[in-house]
Amino acid sequence: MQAQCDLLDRLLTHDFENIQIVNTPTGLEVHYENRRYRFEADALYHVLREVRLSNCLSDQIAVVIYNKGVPVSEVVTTKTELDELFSQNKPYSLWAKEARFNFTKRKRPKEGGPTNRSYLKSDIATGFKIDYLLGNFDNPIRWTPTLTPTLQSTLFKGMTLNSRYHVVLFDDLYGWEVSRLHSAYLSYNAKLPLGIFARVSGGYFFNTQFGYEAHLTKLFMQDRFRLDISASNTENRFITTPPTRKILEADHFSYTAKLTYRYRPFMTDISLQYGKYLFDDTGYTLFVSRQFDEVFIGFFMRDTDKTLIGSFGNEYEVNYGFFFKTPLGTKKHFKTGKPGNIRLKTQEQFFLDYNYTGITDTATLLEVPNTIIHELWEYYPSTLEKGLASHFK
Amino acid sequence: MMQKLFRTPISPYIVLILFFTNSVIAQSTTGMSGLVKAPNARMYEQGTLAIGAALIPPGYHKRTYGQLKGKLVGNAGLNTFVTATLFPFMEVMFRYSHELNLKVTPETEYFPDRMMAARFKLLNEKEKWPAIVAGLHDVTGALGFDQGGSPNFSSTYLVGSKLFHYKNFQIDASLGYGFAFRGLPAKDFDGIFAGVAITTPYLKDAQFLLDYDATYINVGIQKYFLKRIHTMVNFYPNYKKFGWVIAYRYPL
Repeated sequence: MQAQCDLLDRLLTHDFENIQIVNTPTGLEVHYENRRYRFEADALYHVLREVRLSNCLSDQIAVVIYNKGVPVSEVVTTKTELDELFSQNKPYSLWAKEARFNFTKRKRPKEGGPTNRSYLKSDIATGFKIDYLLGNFDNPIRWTPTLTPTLQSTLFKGMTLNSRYHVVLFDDLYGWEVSRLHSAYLSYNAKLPLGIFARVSGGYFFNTQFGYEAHLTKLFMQDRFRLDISASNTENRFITTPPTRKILEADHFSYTAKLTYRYRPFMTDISLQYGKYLFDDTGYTLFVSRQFDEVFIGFFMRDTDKTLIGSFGNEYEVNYGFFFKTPLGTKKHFKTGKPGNIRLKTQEQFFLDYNYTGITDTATLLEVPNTIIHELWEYYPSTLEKGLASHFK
Repeated sequence: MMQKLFRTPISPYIVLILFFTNSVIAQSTTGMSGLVKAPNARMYEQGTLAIGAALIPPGYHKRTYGQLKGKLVGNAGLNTFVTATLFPFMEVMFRYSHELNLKVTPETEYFPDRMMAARFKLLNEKEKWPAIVAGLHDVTGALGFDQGGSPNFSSTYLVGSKLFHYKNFQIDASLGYGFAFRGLPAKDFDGIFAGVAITTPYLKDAQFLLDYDATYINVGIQKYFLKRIHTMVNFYPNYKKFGWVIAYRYPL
């Protein structure tokens, strides 16, 4: 039964979606999905604030956070505790110890239905990327900056459509790149029993690959350990072939397993991945990355059975380097409007890597953005807990 | 070395001590935390990112390639760097060292020198103990990842810093030692280095810096603007030349 309080209206002012508020024997459950705030922890702050200000009577509160219509995480606390937190009578660190941040096992309530559904609403996310190569005497910096407007749409629970168009501003690196439709794929995201996140996708992916992929992710001890298993079967294919280019016909079957340990006091992930990668090389990759809310700085080392050619034609056995991922654009997007609407927004993250040795086609993975598994880091209990803290300094 | 140390009169610089204040961690010309050039055992708060550049004046910059590799040349140098304090005990930096007025062409075969560096805090300062940091410039060379090639700015060192108070002055004194490590020569800070950073209450967010980098004495004045922009003007007495550092620093 929907709770008779003003919380729904309060959450709608922020344009949260798929909202359901129900009274249960264990207290009030607030189910919502955020596509308004760039960072999930920021959205959670506003939800908790509205819960605290609402006239809902229940003291026990469970806030359940969704992505693509699938419940992912939850925060359990009480209204009394929220009062003390927001009125600064209780320090955040103490409140966070008493609250419970976790991946959720709750399901969407059957009573009623969600308000302000996110389905059939689309975004055009405008971003950019830079492909570059350093280290030639005749042209020290070759680069190709590209604008990347991307269509992102959730068709129904778990099902997403993504398509990206590349607008090439300047091509000094490849010499053949033109503005073209770059990728278009459908993904189905689900949560299986035992808390396993799953995804299957098909279509045209990055790196000129056409085919299908599957990915399973399981987390243990909240987000301390993560196991990813993925496989893909693709072939080289352009959606629209650039002039003067011919595709090199080849099929690729890849499979990898990755284990990640998160050291929570320092929000640091150490990952080891092994498998057969997208372009048929086999070996392992080691990642170490430090998270500062939405910013990641990390290092990688890739060792496969492929010989690497780097700057000045030097050969290397191991590819290593560093990367950073940083938020981009506005902290808050426009409101989404009605189903069928297309909203303009900025791309949420920018990624840049630097290969100290070798170039980038070793240990390549099929990337599938705008899916639950790809965005899961934002819903980690530790990410939500740490990200929320910045609002209470 | 001792002649160089005592040739330069220091009394004129004492006057400058009276005009600067507040304890501020400096960005050295190497791109890492330090004094003018010499390192110290101070680190920024974790999650601090700095992007900046340092000018090395003509005649003080060493060529990084070719027949004159390691020799002082008439072109100025520019160190461009990104430095991050990833943990309370670890600072990392990536830097390109450019030689100005020199183009990258097949004829010159010049390319800017790159280097990764890391510093680790071994001990926090306590009442009776100094802070101690271990530094490794040219991490990839030390770990054998560079596959040959002679490093230009490699250095391995230990340095300690202790803060003293005298009336309203803060005197942050540092002493360190650089040495060869795992076959990596000490191209910078080969031997004993030391320095002081002096702050006074008379000028906010500024410091006077004096260091000996195991080769030369360096003098600098640094100031923060808008709590984000770090600037330093430095003077190399042996060469009678000026340089500068500018960096934008923000918390992640």
